[in-house]
Amino acid sequence: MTAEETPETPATPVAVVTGGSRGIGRAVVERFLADGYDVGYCYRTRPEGAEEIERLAEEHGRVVFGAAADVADEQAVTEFLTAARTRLGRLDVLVTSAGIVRDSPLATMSGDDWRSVLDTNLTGTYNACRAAVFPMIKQGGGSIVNLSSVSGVYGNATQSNYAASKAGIIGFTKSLAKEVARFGIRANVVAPGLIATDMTDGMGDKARAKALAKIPLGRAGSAAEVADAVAFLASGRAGYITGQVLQIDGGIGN
Amino acid sequence: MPEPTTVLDLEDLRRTIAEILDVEEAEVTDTADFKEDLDVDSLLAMEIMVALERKYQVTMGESNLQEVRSLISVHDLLAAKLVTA
Repeated sequence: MTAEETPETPATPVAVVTGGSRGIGRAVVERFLADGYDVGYCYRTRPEGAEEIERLAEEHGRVVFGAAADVADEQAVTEFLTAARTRLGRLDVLVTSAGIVRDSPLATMSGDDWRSVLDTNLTGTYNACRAAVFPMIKQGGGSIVNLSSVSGVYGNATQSNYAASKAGIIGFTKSLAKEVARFGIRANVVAPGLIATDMTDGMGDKARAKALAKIPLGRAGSAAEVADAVAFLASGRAGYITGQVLQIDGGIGN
Repeated sequence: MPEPTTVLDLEDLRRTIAEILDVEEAEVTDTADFKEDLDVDSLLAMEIMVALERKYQVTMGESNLQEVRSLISVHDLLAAKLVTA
């Protein structure tokens, strides 16, 4: 709380989302704007939909800050988080949603495909959390939601790199949750199953039908449904929940 | 939560740190090594830093954590921060 604020006028909560211009991250940005947060988000190369996000922010009377930052680049992420905090005044919620896939059987997987997925998905999560956690400690609390995947829980053929990165995120977050609870910070994981985004658009019809057959609810989830779970875990309504993995997967885990 | 102040008093600081560590004030001697003598791990050192930052209304960085190692070193750190504040 800044000196100008009084207990009667609490600061507008601020959420920062990595990979916020597309897919699940984009839906999370929209959810937070609708929920009354000011939002910072980063994208790797193209600020897709930046105008639409600006329009939404205006519609909800919120401030939004978007910038390019490759989450695999520690310095770039740190600079983005610093800029977002400076622009938006505080940091209450961090959501790490930036992620890539480079699927192939391990027998033919290149070292580059292994490293790029681990660098973006796992090290990128470390980079963002590393930059956010100290300010949250000093601020007296916060909430972190890291995006994993059911691939990281159960494994998935041709996704050994992706699954390893997403399983790593679960172990990372469970450890972080135990470490920062004393500072009023919660850390949780959302593990989506098959979600209709441009990341899954590339699936062939056969692969899609096979994947759908394994889902008890019989359909792919939407990015908005994942965003709802993220928003819940980020909020005070989940105040006694930390170190958990919430699967949004249509029942695959049952 | 310690009351905010900008006055640095060694005995008040000793009392504050003893409260945070939940030990007797007498155990927090001027030179007792927090890590070796008082079982202060890195997370507890961070807790001390955050509590002192609020109490004395100064800003500390990650690099200051290594100075959270004894009452005297913390006192010196705060004295330097309060002069420049």
